[in-house]
Amino acid sequence: MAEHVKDLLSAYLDHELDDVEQKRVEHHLSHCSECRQEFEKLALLKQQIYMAYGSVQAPEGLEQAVMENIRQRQFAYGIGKWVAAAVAALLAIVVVMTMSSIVYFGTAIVSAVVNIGFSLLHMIPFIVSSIPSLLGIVLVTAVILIIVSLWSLHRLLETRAIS
Amino acid sequence: MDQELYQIIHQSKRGNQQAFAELVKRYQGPVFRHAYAMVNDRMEAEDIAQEAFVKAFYSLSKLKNEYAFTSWLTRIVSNLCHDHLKKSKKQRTMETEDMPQNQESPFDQLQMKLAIREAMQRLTTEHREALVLRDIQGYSYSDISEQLSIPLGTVKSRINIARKELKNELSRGEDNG
Repeated sequence: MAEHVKDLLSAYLDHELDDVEQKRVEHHLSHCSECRQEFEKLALLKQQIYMAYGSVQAPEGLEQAVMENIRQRQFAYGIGKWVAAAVAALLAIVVVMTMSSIVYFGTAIVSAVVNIGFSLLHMIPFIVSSIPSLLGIVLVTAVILIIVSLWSLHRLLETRAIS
Repeated sequence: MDQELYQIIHQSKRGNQQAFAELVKRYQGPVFRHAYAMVNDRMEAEDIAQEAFVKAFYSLSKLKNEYAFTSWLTRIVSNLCHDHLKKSKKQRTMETEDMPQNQESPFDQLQMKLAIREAMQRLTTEHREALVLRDIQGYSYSDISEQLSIPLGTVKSRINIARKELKNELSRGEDNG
């Protein structure tokens, strides 16, 4: 007797064998009662599995529950979008307001500094005219500073040459 | 797939809620049965079915081919069942209240259904899933291979082993009873 085909019976039952295997199983079943019995058991089992669950029905209202769930999510999403837009608008307003106050204060400070600068510039002739010897003192100090700087520079260059 | 169903899927893809409600109506039976056979609890199966449809509604626009809808939906249900079973590894007991309370049903037929459902829960998730897709949902081996992303040969052997295991579980039950 040819080799048993028990491992092929499951796929044979489902019509999932290729032509060669199909014919081999058919031929074997025609003369092997052991495999035929096995096949009948499998066929019964397949039917029983279907029967055990075939009668199970989806619960009443599943469709409505799904659609309600989707509607709620879409509503929440819509609300979320509006809230996000409102928050973004609010943030934009706060940023603009903050920036404008910074710009306002910045402009005020710069203009105050410039004003002070101009006032000081205007004051210089008055100071010079009110203290007659001031110009002379400044000039002498400047000359002394230039001489000291040149001497220091000369010393520095000499030291480098020696080293 | 008939032209009408194709149109319904196409409209649902564009966000048409009325069309999607029609899809839910058509698929709620198979989706619920699939989930129920996997988790063996009506409430949990209902949650899974609901989650699967909501997920499908929001990701339907990503589905490239309308003809692949059934396969695609089955994959969503399958993944949710796997996630659910991973989360709740508690020992499952048989739900007797789920048995049809039909007075005309012969007692032995009812017993058989109980025995099959009990035995199914003793299989591994993969083996149970293979039998759900083949024997309850009626998918071909190539459909199952695509849905589970496993080779065709694996589908064949998985179903073969699952049936053997189920047969063994049933005969073990008979011996004990």
